[in-house]
Amino acid sequence: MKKILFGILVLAAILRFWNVGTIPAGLTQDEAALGYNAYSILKTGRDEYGKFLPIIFKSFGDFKPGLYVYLDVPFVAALGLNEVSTRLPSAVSGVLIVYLIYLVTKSFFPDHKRLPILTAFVAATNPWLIFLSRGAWEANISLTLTLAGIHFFQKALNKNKYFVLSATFFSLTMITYQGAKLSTGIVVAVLAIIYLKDILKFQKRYLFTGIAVGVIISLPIILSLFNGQTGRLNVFSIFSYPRSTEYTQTFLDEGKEKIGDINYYLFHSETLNFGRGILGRYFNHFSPRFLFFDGDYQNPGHSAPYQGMLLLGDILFLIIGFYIFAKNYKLNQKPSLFIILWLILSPLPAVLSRDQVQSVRALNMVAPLIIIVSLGLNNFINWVNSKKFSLPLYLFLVGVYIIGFVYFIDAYYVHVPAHNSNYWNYGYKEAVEIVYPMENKVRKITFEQSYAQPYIYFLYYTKYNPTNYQKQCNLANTMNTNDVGMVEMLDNISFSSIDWSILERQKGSLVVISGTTAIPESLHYNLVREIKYLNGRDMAFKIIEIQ
Amino acid sequence: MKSFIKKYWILIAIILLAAFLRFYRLGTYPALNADEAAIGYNAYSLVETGHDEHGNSWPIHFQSFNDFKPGFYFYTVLPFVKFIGLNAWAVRIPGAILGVLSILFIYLLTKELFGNKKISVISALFLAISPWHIHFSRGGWEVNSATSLIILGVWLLIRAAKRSSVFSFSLGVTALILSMYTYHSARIIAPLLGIGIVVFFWKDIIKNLKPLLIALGIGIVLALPLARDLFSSNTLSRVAGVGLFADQGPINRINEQRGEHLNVTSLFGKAIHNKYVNYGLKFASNWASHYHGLFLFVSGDVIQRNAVPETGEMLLFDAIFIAVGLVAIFSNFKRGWKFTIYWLLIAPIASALTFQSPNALRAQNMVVPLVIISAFGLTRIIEWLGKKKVATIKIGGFVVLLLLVVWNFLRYEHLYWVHMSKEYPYSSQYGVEELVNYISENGSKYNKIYITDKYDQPYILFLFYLRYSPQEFQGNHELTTRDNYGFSTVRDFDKFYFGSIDFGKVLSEEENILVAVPPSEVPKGTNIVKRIFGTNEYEYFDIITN
Repeated sequence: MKKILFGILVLAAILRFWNVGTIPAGLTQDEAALGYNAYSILKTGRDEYGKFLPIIFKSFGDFKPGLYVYLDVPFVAALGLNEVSTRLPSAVSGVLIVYLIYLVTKSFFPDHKRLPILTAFVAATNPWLIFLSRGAWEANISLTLTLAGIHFFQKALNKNKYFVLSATFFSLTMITYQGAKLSTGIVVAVLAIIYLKDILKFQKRYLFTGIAVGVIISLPIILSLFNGQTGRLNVFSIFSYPRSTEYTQTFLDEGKEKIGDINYYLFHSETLNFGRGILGRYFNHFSPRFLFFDGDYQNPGHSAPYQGMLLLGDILFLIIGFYIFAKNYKLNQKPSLFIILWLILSPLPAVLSRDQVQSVRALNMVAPLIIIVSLGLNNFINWVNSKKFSLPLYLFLVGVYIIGFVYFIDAYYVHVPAHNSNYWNYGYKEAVEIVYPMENKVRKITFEQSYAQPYIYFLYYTKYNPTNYQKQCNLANTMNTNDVGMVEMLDNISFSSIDWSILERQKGSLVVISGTTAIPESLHYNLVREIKYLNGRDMAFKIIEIQ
Repeated sequence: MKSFIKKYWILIAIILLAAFLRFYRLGTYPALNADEAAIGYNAYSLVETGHDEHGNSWPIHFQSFNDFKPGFYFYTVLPFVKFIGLNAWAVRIPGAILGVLSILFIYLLTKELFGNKKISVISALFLAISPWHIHFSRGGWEVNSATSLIILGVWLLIRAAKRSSVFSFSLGVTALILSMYTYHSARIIAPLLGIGIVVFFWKDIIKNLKPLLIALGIGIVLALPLARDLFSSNTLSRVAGVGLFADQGPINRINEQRGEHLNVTSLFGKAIHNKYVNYGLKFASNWASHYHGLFLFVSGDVIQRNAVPETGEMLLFDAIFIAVGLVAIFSNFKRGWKFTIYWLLIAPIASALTFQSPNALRAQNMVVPLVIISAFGLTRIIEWLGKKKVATIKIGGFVVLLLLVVWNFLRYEHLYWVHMSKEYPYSSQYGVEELVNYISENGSKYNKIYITDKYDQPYILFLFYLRYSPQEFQGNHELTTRDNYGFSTVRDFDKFYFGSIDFGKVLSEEENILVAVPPSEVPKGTNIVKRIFGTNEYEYFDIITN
């Protein structure tokens, strides 16, 4: 068993580390910010804004809990500031997830010999986990810590002192990921309710130490709730988007109804409308389209093209798994109750957001899903073993799994870079490497402003001296007060929207525009370089010199 | 008689409720659509002349818009057209009757499968108030009749299997074969259900194979004309027109995907990106899409014709009951439930073979296993509540359940009657009857009448509402060549012309004509003789003359 587990972990590592710097191709602005802040901490002990060892990092006017940055510091120290070092904390924890899922399943189902190893295998080959492990996703670290928390909670049931460790891991998720307030909150609440009697029997000193440690670690996050550093809760919450009054009124007019009528409260109220919206989103996260066919269809950058969040073959084992679960596991068994409640509640952080589906915020779903898929797989194997002619059934099993897996491998390692490089902000690196050396040779550089925050790529790819940047950092909240702030100047480089009437007079200056921005015919310019996305079709950037 | 009523009063009450929900204002709401008009007019044409609108004699598939509609439903409409005349009631009564009978059939089927009266009564009730079932019971929808025949057939066959009854076997096979004469999807679903019955009830059937073989013989004989007609006519080409392969998306994707490989012509790229893989995935994803909770419980079909605004195909509470039902089923997986789950799994297969999935129309038979599972879920909840000792929990629980069901159903009815025709003003052919009425009163003085074809096959609705003589029509019209979707239409008959109209030009070039166009196409300042409104108070046509 140990050897098999080791083999699975090696497989998991290969799937997570191989070419992690170039697949996915590009780097999101959040990854760049995490990487540069780690670099800044390493060099100066301060973040990009000059704040000394913060726990919550201000970034683009958003606030990021900082554990990822600190985990990244040793990697940056060892490998320098680059895509690989930025993504490694997530990739490493991706391997840890596989091991932790193994441990958790083992403590949940001690009578099943084969099940934990199957769970590890399913986790190692799972598209959702692989995708999130190959990018600097804080949610991935949060899941790792959550699983560690659950594991040590299970251990604490026998040896109470582990409760302190469990509480530590749970509370660490708080300073890792904004969404953890809800996603970890769900896990902790469910555990607390199911195991209330056991918890009350814990030795008091461990119980109180655990709770105290948990509160202390999450304190900065709890405090941030009161001083407005809650990330972009308002922007993302579904409740920020009620129906427009005109829409409601038009609909009501059809029945000559009015807001405030009995009919309105019975059939058309805003609460009911939110309820329908939430329910629809909830079902989306359990839809075959999301799980097996299209993945995160609202955020194509969050999954591989034409690939679901699970492997295709899992559709069979998930159905069998649910069947076995309903048949054999009664809800008075605490582990099964926990798994099913976790599954039911885990999409909530995503469901309460504005997106129709959101695989990053719903990431915790993957753990209970993997356990149920493995349960189905385990039972299928048992069933095959009980048959006389088991060979063809084994071939079927292996065939189903391999087909799904090969399809995913192709979708991820071939098509993600080629098809989705635009979602990963491909081209900034190339643009920076062309433009930056020319900074002192041209009159001025104008880089088209966007939500992708071009300034961070200059800092990142030029390894801009953090001490120098901290002196000039200046975040403007010009474009949209609801959303992220923008940086407008860096040395001789300005980041602004493109106004040709001004730019055309700045002869000899360099302009970088996005591939979709049109150049007026009257403009005299010299095309320095075009940078295309890796699909070979769409333009990422055009670099021109005004003449 | 009295004891019969006493014994079955709940079922009788449910059937009366179902009948009320299906027959109330059936002749006027929703407005007749072109397919229903085609059914009515072809039946009328057969009654009057023995030929359909295009002169085919007693067809199995009706040519209609060159879409070759399966014919059984037309023949059920025929006597009604003969005795109550050509009107919306005549077209819709058979569908509504079969819809009401479905309630009885599902009661009998569940009784045979589970022998549990509670499940049967609640199944009957849930089917009676099901949006999915009511929607297609209220109108000349062939699929609803096919579903009714399927439930009947399945009940008879299971009954026959348990009792080795030649009579029930033969009737059951006949009902299933008739469903195949009624609707395309049934041609896949009915045989699959037949096979399912043989597999799941094999233990009973094996005891005496003779009745099964006799029934099979009858089935083959009955199916022969259908098979002959399918392969000799244009029907299959129509089916291909809405089929999976009519969707070019998967083909286009192949090139894109192969292009993203380093070596565009690599064997691996070809092995993994080809039409078999891409259409296979499309089929699987179509099939699975029918189980999406958004479709089932929240928003329903995206095709407006098939849906009520803000309403799922099932009601919201069904989501809870079905979840409970599934868990209960799996914890004690008996034969009857295995068959029900099998039905649930195969129900969308025919629909998945077409594009536009999920599709409430083509997958309507899915409502049967869903309703049964939901009913089982509720029986389990009721049993569980019944065991509660605290009266407040018990009574409170029942009150909450009752309120949930009643509120949910009332909301659906409210949206159906008050909002549907206004929120989806183009889901049916509103305004055409009013237009024809105006023209039959005022049209005689004009030389030529031009009608917009913006709203789908106006010619058949004109024939229908005018009760235009089929003898006159049969030899004197021409079907256009098929459009991209495989449909043809008739551009003119008598003094009517149907098409897109440049009415400024027409009015200036010809004399003494009447033009009916959508209000959106009329420039400001035009002298409109009459504005035509539908029953939903929306303006559909502006009439202009010179």
